[in-house]
Amino acid sequence: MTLLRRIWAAVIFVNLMVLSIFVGFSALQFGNINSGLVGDRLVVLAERTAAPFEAAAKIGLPLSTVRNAKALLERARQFDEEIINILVFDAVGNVVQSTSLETPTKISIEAIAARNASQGEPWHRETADGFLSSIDIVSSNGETAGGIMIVYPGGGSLTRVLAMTTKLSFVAIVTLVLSTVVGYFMLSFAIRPQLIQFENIEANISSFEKAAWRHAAGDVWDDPLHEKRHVKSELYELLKQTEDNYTSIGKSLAADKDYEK
Amino acid sequence: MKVHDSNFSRKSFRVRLSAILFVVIAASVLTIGTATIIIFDRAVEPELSKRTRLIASIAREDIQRALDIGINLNEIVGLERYLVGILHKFNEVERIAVSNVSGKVLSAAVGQLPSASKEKSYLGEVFTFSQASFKLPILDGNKTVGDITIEISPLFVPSRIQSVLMDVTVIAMIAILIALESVLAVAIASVDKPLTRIHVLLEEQRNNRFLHTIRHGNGGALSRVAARLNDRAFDLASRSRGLSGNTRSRMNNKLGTVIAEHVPVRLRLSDVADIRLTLFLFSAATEISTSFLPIYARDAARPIWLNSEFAAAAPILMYLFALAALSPFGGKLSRRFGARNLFIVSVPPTVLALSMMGWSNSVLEITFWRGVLALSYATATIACQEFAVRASGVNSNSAGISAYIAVIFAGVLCGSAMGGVISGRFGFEAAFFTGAFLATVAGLTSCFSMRGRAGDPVSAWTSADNTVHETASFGMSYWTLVTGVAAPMSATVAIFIWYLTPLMLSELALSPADIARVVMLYYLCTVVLGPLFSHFTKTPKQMAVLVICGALISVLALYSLNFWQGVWAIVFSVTVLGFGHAAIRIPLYVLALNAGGGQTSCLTPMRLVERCGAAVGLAISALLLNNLDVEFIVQALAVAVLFGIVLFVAANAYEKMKRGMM
Amino acid sequence: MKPIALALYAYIFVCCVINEAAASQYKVMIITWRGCENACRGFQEYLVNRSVDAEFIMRDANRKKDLISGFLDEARAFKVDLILTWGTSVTSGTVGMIGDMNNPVFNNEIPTVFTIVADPVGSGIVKSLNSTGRPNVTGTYNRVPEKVNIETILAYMPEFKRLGMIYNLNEKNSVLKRNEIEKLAHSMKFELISKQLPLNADGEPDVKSIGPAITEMKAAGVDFIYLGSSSFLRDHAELLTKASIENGLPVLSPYEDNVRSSDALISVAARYYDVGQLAGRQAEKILVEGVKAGDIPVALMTNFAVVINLAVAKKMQRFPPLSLLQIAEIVN
Repeated sequence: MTLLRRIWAAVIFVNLMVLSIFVGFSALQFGNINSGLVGDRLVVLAERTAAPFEAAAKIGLPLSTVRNAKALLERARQFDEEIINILVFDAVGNVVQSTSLETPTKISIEAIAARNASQGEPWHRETADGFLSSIDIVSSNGETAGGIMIVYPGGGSLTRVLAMTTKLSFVAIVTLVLSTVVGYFMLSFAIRPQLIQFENIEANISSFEKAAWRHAAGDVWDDPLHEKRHVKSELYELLKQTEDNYTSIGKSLAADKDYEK
Repeated sequence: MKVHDSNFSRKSFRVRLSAILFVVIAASVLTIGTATIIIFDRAVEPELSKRTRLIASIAREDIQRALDIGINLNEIVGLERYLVGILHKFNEVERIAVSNVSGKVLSAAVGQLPSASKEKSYLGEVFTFSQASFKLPILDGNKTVGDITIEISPLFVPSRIQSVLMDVTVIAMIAILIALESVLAVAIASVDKPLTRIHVLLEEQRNNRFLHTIRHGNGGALSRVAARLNDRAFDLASRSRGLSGNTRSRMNNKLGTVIAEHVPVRLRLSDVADIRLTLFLFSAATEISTSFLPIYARDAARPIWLNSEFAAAAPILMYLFALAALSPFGGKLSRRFGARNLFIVSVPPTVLALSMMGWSNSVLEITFWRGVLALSYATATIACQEFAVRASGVNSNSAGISAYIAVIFAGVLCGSAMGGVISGRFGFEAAFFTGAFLATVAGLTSCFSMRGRAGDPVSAWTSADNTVHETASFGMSYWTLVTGVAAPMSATVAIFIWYLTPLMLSELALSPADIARVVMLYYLCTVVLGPLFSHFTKTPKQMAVLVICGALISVLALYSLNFWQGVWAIVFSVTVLGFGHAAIRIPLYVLALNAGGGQTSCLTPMRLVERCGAAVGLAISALLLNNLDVEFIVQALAVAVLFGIVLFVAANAYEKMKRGMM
Repeated sequence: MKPIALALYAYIFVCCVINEAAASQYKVMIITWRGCENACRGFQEYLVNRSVDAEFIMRDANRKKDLISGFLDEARAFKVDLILTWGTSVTSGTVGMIGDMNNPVFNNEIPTVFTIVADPVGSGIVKSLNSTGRPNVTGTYNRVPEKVNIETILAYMPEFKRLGMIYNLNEKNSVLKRNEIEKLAHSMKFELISKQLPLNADGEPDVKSIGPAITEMKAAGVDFIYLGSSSFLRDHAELLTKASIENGLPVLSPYEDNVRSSDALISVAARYYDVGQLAGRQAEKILVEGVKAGDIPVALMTNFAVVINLAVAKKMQRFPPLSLLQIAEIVN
């Protein structure tokens, strides 16, 4: 039974570890998925915000010269009150217009890197400051005239990930409890022959110990395995033989020591 | 009645216990995996709807602006162009139409043919999705004058959910791989090793050898036996020290005893499974950047003379060349200093290299540290390979190599998947630091797991331990095996799996995540099928047949692209190639060891040729790709593999004929 | 007697001091072509809002070139600190061409800021927009590139093929613009149908010929009318737009007020008030910051808007497309 319990405890531990790893990675992956979803939604907004500026770029007006740019951006910002800022930037990343009072001079380094990596396609990133979503604006000659970038807060995303983690943890706990119970019965059924054999080994060891201390008290080596359910194994013989070897060598050593004296 | 101890078969207990544990844990993972998919689906689907609704809202807003300034709905100019523009920008929109209040369609834009989109994926039957179309009214003042209808492809939401399903499957795979290694470690530590130790010591003491002691665990009958056996050795050694030298040797000669002169030495048994968890963690650590390294390198700062394509490939090339450079020396170092010491010494540079790759800003720094990582990876994996071969013994090389290869590939799978997930959430740097952490844990576990004799230097081995033959023959069959089978296989992996497959799939507009999943199929075949194949092939003849079949299957996989193109053709090719290589890998090493008389030194030329083959092959194809088709390069690979296997068969036939004549 | 004299002297002294104190720091002469309109007002209000203590001396040429030299004499007599010139005719009449730098007839000493000049380089007033090449001259540039105007027409009317343009031989800028459009016609693949306004006995363009010219263009298959660069046509925009509407021809004007108040359909332009403000900034640099006029590049206008007159669009049953509606300011 001890062996079974030890193995069962190991099953619980390994299961707990694996489920924790699963929940951890799933929560991380959900964060990625959620980030992707928010980003996809912001890309829609960025696309539509860019449309009037694209119309301006197509007729050749530089983005910085569109007189009613602020109004156009504000119209887009009103689609989602959570939007922190919408920026219009030129081809090299200088901000020419924004909805917030403090207009940065250039788009951030992360935004520049993401823009370079996306090679003209719409992109979104989750950064320490929140979500960034952007789209380039192409002029009539096919060159990039600049782009639109939306800055969105990231706090809500963390809340959703934590909520998901809680849900998954609950499921993991339930799964752990169920698998623990099922695992116990499966183990005790599936490795029953081995458990019995191991029990037999332990019984052999116990009976050897019994025989050994009786033998030390003068009794002959006897087979104290009276219970029919236990079978004498080779282990018993080995133990007995090595005990005899040890005893005779020990006695020789004692005799040699006396002789030397 | 005496019963032989083999009734308690340790191997069968290990297998059965591992199977049960694995089933229980896999069932847990599958249960939570299924629940996760459903929970994710419920979280994702409303978000997708929000996006579509937003598209419709914005379109309506634009149209309403025209109405607000006095243009009637049926007078709006450029409406169709505008709707077509929306269709092109948002590929989930299948149809968008503006109708007047009586339902007459004033303008519409339609995407793909409606009939094609009516096919529902199986996911659509499993999960219920909300509406696939939105209708928003258009107002002019307080009057409804029409509506805008937007229909999304019924495959859009299922395809996104399918992507979620793939993600969860990858995570489940990570969990199951970790579970497998943990389960095996538990199975061995529970009963297997304690019982083996006791039996070995009993056999020694039966032969009057009292040189060793063993670990005696934490209680129970086995623990008591171990303590007893240990005490015998301690007792006799202590009493024997009390005698003079002459008396002692006279007694030993008379009784035929061998007693420890000082303190009995701890008996350290080695098992192939000792390195599994350690090597798995180490392999996962070093492969953590596989899924994103080219992108990371491409986006890093680089000198003007280095273009972005070469910047992306530079770390891979440096990795291959560094591996090739160290290959001739790794085996010698392991035999000289011991596999355990070599592995432990490899860990700090690995940790440093991974950390520095995370901190690096330029492609030159990344490439340099990737080279350092390659060197320490080479020494660590060669050390583990040497350990596995020694631990399995000359007659069971197959088991050792099988375990070694399965664990390396499992680590590759797990590491690259983990790296993808972590980098997606926390950035590339976090993934590198996670790799460094895993490598540290691998180093710590090695201190406990590689204690066995197989980790000692060759000089520490006694003649009794050294069961390998002294003579090694590097005959024709060995060299044709190395040059005709190992080198083409390695080149095929580097060229086709690492380089061409991502390139071809990228041109077919597959996302990086999907490309990674296709490449994973190759590694999955090796992890799952490799041990199965080796289980059923025992003799050198069977292994040679397996190698030949595997090579022919590889040729088929490569050549199939001549007849079938597209994403599924590449998936088929990659999977079948994985199948073929799974058949080759383990027998390849075992045959090489056999040809080398069981000496691990015979693996050195093979490692060198393999790695050089991969590096040179990759460099050549990168150069040739400017002037030649991908199809031509794949065909050339197929021909090279076929030629190599013909060479191997011919060499074996020749040697057999020569032996027959002698 | 002595106390009275003393008081008188003191009184005169105080008056002089007060008078001295009451006189503005700067004297600025503004020479307009047809009265002080938005640009002129924008200029003045900029300086006032910036607390630049300037006295404005207003002179209006009332569309007569010969009056300009007289204004220059006055400016010299008053020792003005700066002259603002409105339009190409006034500017060229005041400072001459770049080759007139040593000609005492023209102003080569008093700092001059020009504004509402369609093409200062083309008309030979300055060397380039970056560097005028004239030590006492700088100004503002407020036109969008002509390509933008044509692209706007194409955005409004994708099927556009023929552009109609009336030009005034008397106005150099009008001729220059016509030539510029002709060059553009080749590269942008449209046809230009241009018509010079005939001159009457006084050598002035004949107002009555505007209507028939438009009718002729309609007969020639013109799709769109471009007003080009002409103060004459600008002043008589209502005649032009009326004729155009009658002939079903939309008009693109580079002057925003033509759209807002003269029934042109569409313009891509800067607000004149904003242009005046920009000229005010140039003047501030010269007067307050002490920068030499010739060292200041010509300031480029950076705020343009597409303005569409919806009433005209309705009349012509030619509504703007959704793409332009997204960006345009709509009037009427």
